Amino acid sequence: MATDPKVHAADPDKTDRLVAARRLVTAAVVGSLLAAGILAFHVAYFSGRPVEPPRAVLAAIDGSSLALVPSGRPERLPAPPPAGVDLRYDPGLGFPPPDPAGLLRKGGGP
Amino acid sequence: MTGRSRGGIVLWASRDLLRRPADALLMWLCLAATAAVLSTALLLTQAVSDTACRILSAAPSLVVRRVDSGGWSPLPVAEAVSRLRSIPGVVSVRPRLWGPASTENGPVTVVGILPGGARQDAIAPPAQGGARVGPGVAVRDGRLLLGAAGRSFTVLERLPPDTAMVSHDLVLLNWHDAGEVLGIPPGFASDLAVGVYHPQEAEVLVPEIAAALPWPVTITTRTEAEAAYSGPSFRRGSLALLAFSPGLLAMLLLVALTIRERVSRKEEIGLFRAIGWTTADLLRLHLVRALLIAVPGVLAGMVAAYGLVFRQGISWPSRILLGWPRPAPQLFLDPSGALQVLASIGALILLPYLAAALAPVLWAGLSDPRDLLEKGR
Repeated sequence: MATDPKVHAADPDKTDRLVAARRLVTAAVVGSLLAAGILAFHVAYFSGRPVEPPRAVLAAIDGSSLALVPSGRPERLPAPPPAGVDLRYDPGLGFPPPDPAGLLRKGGGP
Repeated sequence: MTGRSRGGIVLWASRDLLRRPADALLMWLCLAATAAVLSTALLLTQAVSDTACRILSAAPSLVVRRVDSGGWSPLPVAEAVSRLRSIPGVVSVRPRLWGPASTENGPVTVVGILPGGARQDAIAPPAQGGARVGPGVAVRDGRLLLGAAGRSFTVLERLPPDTAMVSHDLVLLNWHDAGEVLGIPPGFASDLAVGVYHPQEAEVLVPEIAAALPWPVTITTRTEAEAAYSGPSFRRGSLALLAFSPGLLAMLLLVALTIRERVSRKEEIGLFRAIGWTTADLLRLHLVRALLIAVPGVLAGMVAAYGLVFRQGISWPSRILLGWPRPAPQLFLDPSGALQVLASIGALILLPYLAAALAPVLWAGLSDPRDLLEKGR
């Protein structure tokens, strides 16, 4: 009895659905290993390196604060300013002076 | 029936995922996004704090500043240095001249470099009228106007961008020029950098130093300076909380959806049990199925977060979190402690997700297969 040639000519990769499953597993394993490898390599290679240039400049100028906030802010000072002195309002910095409205006594006071 | 082969279980789990590819993809994206949000917040706060502390390990052991009723006050160098050098345990006393000054484009920090500085690694002072500037200082035609009087300086050199965490808005002048710009007379300094023989002794020397000087002073130890960069000033707790609240809600939602999805497949579990699969086989199948989605998803989120935080020269945290206008300092963060943070986030996401995937299967595995099949109808 003659068989339909098309049945035998079918690509097993297209008919066997486990092939797609195998590809998915391979992709998941390879992708995970690649991601973990990239992270581990980068951490191992860059650990400690980015600190050296700024550390050298800080040591050279005897600095004790970092430029993580803009100049003139209290966080750039080596210690909190004395109580009652707000150094943001340094007239040399061009910041607006304090709003006098907040300093005026509100109603209800003595 | 005996247990199935490992390869067979893995392929079966993968095949099961492909039966509902959209569901699997959405779950992968949710896990990746949750991992990315949590990792970005925690990696950033941890990296800024760690990097700042490592850089500040080169800072002086103590900084002594004179105060009066108006705030900070310059101190006479000769008298202060001679008084402090006589204290046992103090090995070096170096005057510092620095302070904020205005430019056309906002405030900068001016630092005076002492000629013939005692330190071997000190930067050579620029010539009078010259300046070395940080990478974020705006310069016009090679010149810089400084101070209220607008004194002009020639820019001799720009410090490299990888020093920006210290030098972004610094202007280095020679000692004399810095004094003029800051309005500090010759013979006076902004404060003193004190080195001690044993760093552990710094705290002990604080009262002795305060007693040795005839003016009221504030003394800051290196430990206090480091604490400022890991504490509330960088909103570490707030940022972590901001990321954690939606992150934990997302995790709860994922866990609830996973439990619901597994419970809805009781009939399938009953069918497998009826044809001879053991509970251990079913647990392995669902464990592999969950791992095939969760591990690549969480790792993808972590890699994205890691790239966002540790790509060298990033400036988005400075603009968004630290209040810098443009140009914001480029951050070159140290990834030393990143793997511990990523491991804890991985555990935080994977453990509840895997528990949610396996608990209903374990529960169903203890039931009679016929009950499961009947309930599924």
